[in-house]
Amino acid sequence: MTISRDTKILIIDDDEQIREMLRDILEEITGHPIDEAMNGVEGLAAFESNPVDLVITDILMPDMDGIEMIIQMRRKYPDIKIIAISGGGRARQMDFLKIAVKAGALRILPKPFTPKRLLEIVTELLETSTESQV
Amino acid sequence: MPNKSGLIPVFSLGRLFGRKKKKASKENRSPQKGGAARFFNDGDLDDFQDLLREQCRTESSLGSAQIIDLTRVRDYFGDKWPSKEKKIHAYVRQAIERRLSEKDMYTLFKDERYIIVFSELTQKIARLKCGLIAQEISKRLFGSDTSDFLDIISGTINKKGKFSFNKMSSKPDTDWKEASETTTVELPGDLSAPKSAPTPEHKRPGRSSDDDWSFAPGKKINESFLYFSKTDKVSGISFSDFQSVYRPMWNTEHKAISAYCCIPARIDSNGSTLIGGAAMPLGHASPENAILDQFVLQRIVSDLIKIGRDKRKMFLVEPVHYITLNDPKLHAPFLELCRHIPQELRKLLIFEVLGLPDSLPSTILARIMLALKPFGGAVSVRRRLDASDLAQLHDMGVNAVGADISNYAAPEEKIIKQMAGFCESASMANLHTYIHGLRSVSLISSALGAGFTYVDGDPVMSVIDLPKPLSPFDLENLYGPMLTTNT
Repeated sequence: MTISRDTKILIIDDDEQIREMLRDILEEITGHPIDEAMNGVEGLAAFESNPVDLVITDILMPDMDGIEMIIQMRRKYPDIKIIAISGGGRARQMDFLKIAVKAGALRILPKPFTPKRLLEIVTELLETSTESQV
Repeated sequence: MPNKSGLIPVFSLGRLFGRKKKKASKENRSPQKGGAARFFNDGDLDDFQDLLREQCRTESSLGSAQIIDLTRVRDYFGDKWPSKEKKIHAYVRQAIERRLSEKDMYTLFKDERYIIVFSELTQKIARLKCGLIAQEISKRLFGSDTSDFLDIISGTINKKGKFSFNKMSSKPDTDWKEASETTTVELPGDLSAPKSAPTPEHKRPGRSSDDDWSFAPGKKINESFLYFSKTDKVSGISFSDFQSVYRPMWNTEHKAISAYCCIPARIDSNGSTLIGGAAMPLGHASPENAILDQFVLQRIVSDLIKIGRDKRKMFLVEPVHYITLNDPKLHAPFLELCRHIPQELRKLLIFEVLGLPDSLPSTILARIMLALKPFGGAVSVRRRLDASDLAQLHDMGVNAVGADISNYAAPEEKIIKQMAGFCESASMANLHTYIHGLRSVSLISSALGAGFTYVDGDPVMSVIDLPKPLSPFDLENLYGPMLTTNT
């Protein structure tokens, strides 16, 4: 993987276990702590106080769901890269992920997913970012 | 100026609001088509009145006029009003047009006031309709349904097309006759005597069958069953003040708004529109609930007949309290009203039994199911969101189970966990599920994720005064307003 050690990532998910799993995978490649939030409201606030290169967000969350969060974040920060994840046996996950793309997510990832697949998508997005900056 | 009676002659409107009578140019005299209703721009008041007079000459019904006044909204925004004015008027027009028919018309005048003429409604129903419009506007602008910023002024139209306005009376007029005399009728048997369909011996004298009940729109069902002269002793609220409205329900599997739950509503003395439990703060165990249940059912029967006549496809939901069905004195008049539901339309009616005790009385519930089933296409039961006794409901003949979280103040995180548990239990019992009163988009998306079949709440669609034909609705509609703003 060719992700810069300076890369900052924010994980937004109301499921502590999912956050922990994502954190473990991503901290291994960034080498530093990953920012976390439990819902869209907290996610937006976390981003405002500490902007990141990549946001990974769940869809179904309390107080502000992932779609609303993506819409609001995209409105304020048009260049932000967002990956939407959802599912875990819940109904209609693909419908939600399709809406997430319309809202502004650049990649979607239905649950369950493998660490390998997550890293592929994260790398792909962040490399695109590096290339576009060159 | 208002005369002694407090009424304002129609043609003094211009003076009252400081406008000069203006002759519109010929090209400006046509109303703009705004949605289905006719809309006139500010400055076209003369044309509006010309059309009103014309309408009064040709229409048998005079209708009702209402003013929605945004003056205090303008004052609230102060210096920011000019930058927000256009957008706010767009919201207001949208909220108004959603609720007008082709024969209705409205005009903007003096910048912040809308006169709306409902061609076929009584003043009481028109007032309620404007209350719903004001509620939608308030929610959109202020995030709550406070009526603090929107004034509604009710008026009447006379045969010459003149209209008069006065501030809403704290006690609206009543459409209902008082139940002065009780007609002797043969009442249905006890709930303990299950039957699959109404039997001839239960029919009223002079009617050959349930199906030939000639219930013309506007005609009232036997009012001897209704007690609208009563006033609730605890709250002091008069039952004659009630109207009913519909909460649109989204069928998430069929991706359509296909059911409408009928609920009581009233305007309080402050002009606020109160809906459901807020309209009548009774406990579920109060026998007064039976009055509202009958009231709502009467409305539903009337609307079902119209739906059948127009061959429209939708379900209507009748919430009925457990006490109405379990109390021998209360269930007989209710079931008698049920007999007025034409047989061929019963499949479109869903009963929702609410107010059940926490400890589910299975034998009584089974009898209730047997009593209701002949009159509706399905029977659902409302339970608490944390109920754990759903497994036995299917065996009692219940088709669906749901909850109402309109007044449930728990954090969303907790509600979401309970929704998931509720749907899992219902699924194991092979029951459809529904949930009323979802207050946010995040709760709605989580309800879908949990697997609820029917969901409702303001983010889906605001309460409306008439059920509308089945209309497609899915995630794109839910997030549509936000996505549109984004692009």
